Amino acid sequence: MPLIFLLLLLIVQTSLSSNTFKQPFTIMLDGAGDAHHAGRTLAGDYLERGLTMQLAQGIKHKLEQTYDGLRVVLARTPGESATHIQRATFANRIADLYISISLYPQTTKPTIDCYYFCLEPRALPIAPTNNLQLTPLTQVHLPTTPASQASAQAFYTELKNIVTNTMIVHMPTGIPCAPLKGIACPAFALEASIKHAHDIPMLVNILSSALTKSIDYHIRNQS
Amino acid sequence: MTLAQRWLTLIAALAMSAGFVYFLVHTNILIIAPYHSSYTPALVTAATKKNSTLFFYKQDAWHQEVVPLLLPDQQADALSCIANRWLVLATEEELMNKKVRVEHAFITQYGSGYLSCDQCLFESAQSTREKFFLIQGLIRSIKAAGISLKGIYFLVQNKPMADYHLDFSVPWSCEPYNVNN
Repeated sequence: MPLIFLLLLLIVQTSLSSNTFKQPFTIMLDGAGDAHHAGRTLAGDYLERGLTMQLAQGIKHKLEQTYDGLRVVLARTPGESATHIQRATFANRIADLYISISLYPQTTKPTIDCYYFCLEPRALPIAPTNNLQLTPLTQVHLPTTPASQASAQAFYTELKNIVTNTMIVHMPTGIPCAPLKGIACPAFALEASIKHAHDIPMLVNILSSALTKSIDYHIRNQS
Repeated sequence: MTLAQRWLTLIAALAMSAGFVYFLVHTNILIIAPYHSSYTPALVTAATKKNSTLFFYKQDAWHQEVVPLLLPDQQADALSCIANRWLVLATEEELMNKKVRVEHAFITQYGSGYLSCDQCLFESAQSTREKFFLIQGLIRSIKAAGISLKGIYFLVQNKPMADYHLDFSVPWSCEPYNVNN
């Protein structure tokens, strides 16, 4: 009996440790739009800023339930206005992973795209520098570009497994993505097409499930 | 003429001269005189007829169209010409719903190109992917025309193009991005 109890305890500990961060880990979710920038008009009458906020809050809730030691922070609150640079400054203080979320009106098949920041295609990643060095805004992403690519790739692979042929999913692409400019931690952007506002819960489930692989990548890197 | 009349005449003439000079300085009156100059603007600029390949991305694939163009030998003029022709093609292919025109084109001595359009190329509802490939099609076409640039700044009415999803405050590289379909 004590052996069975010990075996059960071991199984529970193992399953917990795969969803447990050794050190506190912070993810910042950035929904497109703010008080000054309403974003695209979606699903008839809805604004991008409202739907991305719903999406980000849903993903935050799901991820915090799944992982111990994970803190999910939203880059803005409803009614708040923040430029890209202000969000980057906020993220550079507290975030270990930054995810930008945007939506656009669906015209054909449902689609999800993934991007990481890249200004110069031939630029090589550079070694991390000490925190006291001033780095230009256009180069601050270079030390973490490999980690951003790996996070985005892990997300893409899992997303492909989840959606199979029901959605079009494009491989992660490095582009001069404005919401990711100036962010020092690993960062990638998601953009999903949406037809109806009631598709948000479905997107929350799909995206949060796919994001677990990106987060698992960072758990492995922590150890 | 009495002495008083002479003084009055003199004061009146001085007052009129002062008033004339005052209004001339403040450009309330203009003097238009015939202007002779030895400058004669060039009526003919050197140009070469070339078959240029224009690239565009549509329905998840790259397409190209070869068009005959009279490209000026001046690189900046050639840049403007090829960009305007590409914009016409983009409208014909329904990649853009509005007619956009390049107003100014400039190339610096360091190889940076500046393209200033009369309005933004993008619609608000377009996805980032559509916008990105629109720009890539234009850049590829410029490169295929033999205009070698280190980077291109995209401007609207001489100010950096403002877009929420793509950063136009920096020059866009003419090298292909790592795009996977």
